[in-house]
Amino acid sequence: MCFTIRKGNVSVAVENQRISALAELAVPAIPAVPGRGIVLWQRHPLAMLNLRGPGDRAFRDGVRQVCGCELPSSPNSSNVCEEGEILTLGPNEWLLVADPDTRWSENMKIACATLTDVSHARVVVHVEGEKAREMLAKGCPVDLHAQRFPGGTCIQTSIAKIGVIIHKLHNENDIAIYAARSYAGSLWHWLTASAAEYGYHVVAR
Amino acid sequence: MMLIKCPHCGARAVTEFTYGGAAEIARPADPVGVSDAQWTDYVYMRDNPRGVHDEVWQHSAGCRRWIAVRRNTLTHDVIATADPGKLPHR
Ligand SMILES: [Zn+2]
Repeated sequence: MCFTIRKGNVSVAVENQRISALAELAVPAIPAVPGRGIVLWQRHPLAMLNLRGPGDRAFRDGVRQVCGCELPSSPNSSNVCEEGEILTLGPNEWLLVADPDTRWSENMKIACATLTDVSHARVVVHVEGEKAREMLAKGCPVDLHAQRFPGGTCIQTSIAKIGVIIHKLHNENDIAIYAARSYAGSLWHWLTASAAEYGYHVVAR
Repeated sequence: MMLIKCPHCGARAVTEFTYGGAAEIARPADPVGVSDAQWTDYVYMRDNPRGVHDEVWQHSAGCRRWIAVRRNTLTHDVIATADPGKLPHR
């Protein structure tokens, strides 16, 4: 995909321009509250595909053959593979997440599947640190304690009334939050305000 | 906080759900043949029981599925949840 933007009097061709809704907010150079209780970073750019299908045996086999990655087998779970990640969103809905140069695409032929490219729909912010869970508890109704919410758990819920996907990575203190890009600023301000008491640090990864 | 057990996602806070009204309100089978009074009854008139009530809710912040919930309106006990139309008979 290629389009042009104007810079002064000059038209510049831009290929696959991917500007995050957090581009001017999640900036490491902006002085954060001192301390390292919480580390915030955004994962960008990403390829995301919404997958819908029956979830039966034949469908699971089809996904495995085409994507090279197994669908997670239980609710509220995820599967991390070499090709990317598959997050469970519901009984017949999943989110495929991968680097932008992935071979996964909405043109993949999987019987009975509906694939939609939603790469531009969301921002992804990682909240890391020993206080990550305690901080998120201020606005999230789901218990994120390791006993109820072990590494690999993935749920849809809300944080401060913003609809989110929460994915706990296999490192217990690394929590990825997916939100609609139109809510990016609102989510970011809630995260930074909530992290302030612990001290936080914005980094680039 | 009231917890509702979504059949797909497990126990979640009521804030993740949207109330959808009483369960099993049957739309008139012959919409052309019904009177205004029957339409009014179907669209607006509901029981308002003190006690056990069958309802539909949407897990709007979660899996977005509609589910059936049997709830005590007095104590807020959630007695049973299921896919729509699948609550056990009372
Ligand atoms: Zn649910």
